[in-house]
Amino acid sequence: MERKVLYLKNSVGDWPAFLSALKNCKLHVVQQYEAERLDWSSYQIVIISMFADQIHLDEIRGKISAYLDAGGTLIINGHIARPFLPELNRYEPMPKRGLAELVIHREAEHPAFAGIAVSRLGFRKGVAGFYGRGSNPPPKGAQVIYSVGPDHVAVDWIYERPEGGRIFVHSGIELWMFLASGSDILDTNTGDEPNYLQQFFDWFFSTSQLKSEAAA
Amino acid sequence: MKQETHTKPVLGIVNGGMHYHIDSIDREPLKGFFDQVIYLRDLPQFDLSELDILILPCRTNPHYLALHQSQFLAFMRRGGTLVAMGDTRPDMWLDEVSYRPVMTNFWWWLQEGADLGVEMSRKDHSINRYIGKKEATYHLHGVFAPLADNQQMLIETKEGECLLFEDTSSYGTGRLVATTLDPFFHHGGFFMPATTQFLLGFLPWLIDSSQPASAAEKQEEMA
Repeated sequence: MERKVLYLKNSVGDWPAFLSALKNCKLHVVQQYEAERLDWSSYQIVIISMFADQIHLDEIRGKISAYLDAGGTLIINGHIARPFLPELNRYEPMPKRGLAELVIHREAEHPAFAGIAVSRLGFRKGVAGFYGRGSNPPPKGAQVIYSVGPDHVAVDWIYERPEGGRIFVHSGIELWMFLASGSDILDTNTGDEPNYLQQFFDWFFSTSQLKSEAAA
Repeated sequence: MKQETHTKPVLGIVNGGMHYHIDSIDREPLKGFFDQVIYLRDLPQFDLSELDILILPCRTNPHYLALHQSQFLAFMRRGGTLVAMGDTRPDMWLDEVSYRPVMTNFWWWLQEGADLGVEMSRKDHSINRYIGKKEATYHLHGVFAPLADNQQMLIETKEGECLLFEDTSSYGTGRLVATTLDPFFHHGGFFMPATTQFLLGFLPWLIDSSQPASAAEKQEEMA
């Protein structure tokens, strides 16, 4: 089955930064408001960006749930301000703390993040706070992968829905910036290292449970 | 109960549905500033003459703002203040505006004593009583260049290029305020306290420097 990603964009410009470097998959980028009329059933992964219009997502929650019911994977970046699925809760910022306390913790080893040093996510040029500063609180039964701060509030989590499908949430700015190499923006210009971005997507593709017409 | 005569300008803000819009608009400390919140996709049906000030907050999708060019122009020509915040790209939907992106340096402040070089352009202008260099300094995404004659630069880069301008001449009795700074994005993302301070000065400045045109019209109609 062909590997395909649907990215819902809500900004100007070309493809989202870094994702064009993905290999062995087709990336389809659409303006978010065009998404409703499209057939999602052949995409193993649908990506919601941090720039998403969550009021609109709330309006199309039936379509999103149906996609998940069919075994889809929804990857969500950003803070949840309008919980558009029953599994989501409104973002809770951490109480104001010093940057030194915005430490990222690994809560579980996860193959999608294998080999990634926590320091890569937690600090950029010695500055903390870029990766996560609060939590989109996960539903009961979610696996928390990374957390932040003294209270270990969940930043990254994955939830396998009993009805089918799964939701991965990163409670912060676009995750790709931290996984990709050669990001000047966040100084991940570390050169010779594994392709963590590809690894992340490869894991989601290889474990996809999508029941598409093609597979039926 | 007798309705009070409205003397305070009516401030509206567009909600593009982004988390940083929603969290700016309906959480403290900014919540109380907004008299009307208009969801982006409801704009075609919304009568902007109810407002004196309309804010298009940072990174509202410019493709969809462009659909409302006529509505925005009519709003300004009736005396309204239109406020285009960072990355709403007014150059894409207003003829007179030109924009050039600049490489964002997120790290300039790591060096002790470093100065990004943002300056207030006109020391005699009322905006200086509300915000200054300190509130306007965090990072840059772009500049308005070249500036049109009517676009009065109020905040600039160290190279003297425009980060915020006011145009009180091109749109009848109305006004365009445009900035490339994106404080709603960072404030609403709970990041960069300078951006909160910027908005806590900028919003009162917009209100204090706006005529309640809609109120004046209504009073005239009633008379």
